[in-house]
Amino acid sequence: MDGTQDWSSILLAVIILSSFVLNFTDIPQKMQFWRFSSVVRRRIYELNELENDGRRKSIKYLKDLNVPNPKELIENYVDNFFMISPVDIEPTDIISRLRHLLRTRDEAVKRYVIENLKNISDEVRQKIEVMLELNSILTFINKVVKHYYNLGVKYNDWVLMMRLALDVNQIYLLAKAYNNAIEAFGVGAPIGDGAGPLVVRTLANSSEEREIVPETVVYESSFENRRIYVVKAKGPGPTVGRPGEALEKLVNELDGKIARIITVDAALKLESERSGEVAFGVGAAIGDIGPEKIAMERIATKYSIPLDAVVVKMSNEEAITTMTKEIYDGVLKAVDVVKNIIRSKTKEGDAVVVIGVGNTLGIK
Amino acid sequence: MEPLYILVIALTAFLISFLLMSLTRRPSNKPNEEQKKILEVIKCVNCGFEEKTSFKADDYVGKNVGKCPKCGGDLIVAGIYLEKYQQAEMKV
Ligand SMILES: [Zn+2]
Repeated sequence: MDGTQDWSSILLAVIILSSFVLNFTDIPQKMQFWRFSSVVRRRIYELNELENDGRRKSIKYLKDLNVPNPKELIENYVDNFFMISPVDIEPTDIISRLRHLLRTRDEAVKRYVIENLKNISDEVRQKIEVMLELNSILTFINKVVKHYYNLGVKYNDWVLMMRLALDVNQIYLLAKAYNNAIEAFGVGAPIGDGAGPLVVRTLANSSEEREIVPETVVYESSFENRRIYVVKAKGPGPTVGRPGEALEKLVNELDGKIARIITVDAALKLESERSGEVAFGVGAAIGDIGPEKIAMERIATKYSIPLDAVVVKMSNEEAITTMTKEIYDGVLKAVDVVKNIIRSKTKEGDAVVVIGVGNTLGIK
Repeated sequence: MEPLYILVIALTAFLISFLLMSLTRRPSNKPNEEQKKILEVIKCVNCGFEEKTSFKADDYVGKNVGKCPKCGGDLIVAGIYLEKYQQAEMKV
């Protein structure tokens, strides 16, 4: 037997053997499982870092607000104050049930903060509530990722681990956005989600505000011989107010004598869209889980008032961090769009309601 | 030459190039060279005078921050935003 023959037969054996291993055993999957789980482990390590970093920043920030025991305040909040969704297989009165649960939860959080820190202003209380919420979200994200990782390991589920490894990068970016949000809320400058309130604040040329429902104000103003009612959350604390309830009350007060309702909000952009793009359409522009949005739709329908929507587009991260130049430019554009709608779709002497939906941090 | 050899050489070359590619494609952890600054747009309610200053803590949109140097009207914070200054990319 010459050398060539020898080599080629060994090689043939190797190829046959490896094709057997690849096709008829789980070894490749085991190796993939091992690789994917190491990717996830690395990300979990980074998520832990984000969570701890968020905790550190919040404690420092709460100390600056003269909170005596910030660590316990956060630890006792995280994991608690969840809300169980109402029954939806029987949808009768689900909106009022949902609203009731949301209000109850808001009230519980508010009482928790007030009990721990007596004599604080609404603005400081709202800031503390947001800090607690952001820490809660970071902990929750971290827990969910760990849950699926542990499930994957426990049941040797390489499909689950593969999906997790592919998704964990996006999840990490989301957690990073929430971590950055802690800083942005600490700074106190308007965030991207404040685009709606900032647009309508520009239209209110007076500074006389009236608190129509809790944490929500109305400015009465005028524009080219039309009466303008501007509705937004009460600033400059980080709150979204109750725009739906406020609109309902305002329109009822005016006996429905409104020519048009214009809602302005921040909207999530598609990946191909630019930040700060402005678009308009019809409907209630509000990212609410139900009660506020339906209140707007119902009151507009009751009096047959046309409902317009103007949105400023941005990414998830931009919405919860300090407003960027692109979004600010979008806000200025949106102001012009709203003015154009008022000019072209209402007559002189009409009354128009403009609602700025979103978090009003840094905007009074 | 045996066709088997050619196959083996081709396979090895493919595997090595794949390995090299996946090694070099690793995302660089270079920090984003970016400077950020929060700016405030201040406007006069009377004459439209406008200026930009840097953001001060506890300022908010709608806050009265003094008198207009031109006409003496109220100066109001009209907007606050984050300006990013992208620094030229450093190439080695
Ligand atoms: Zn002036």
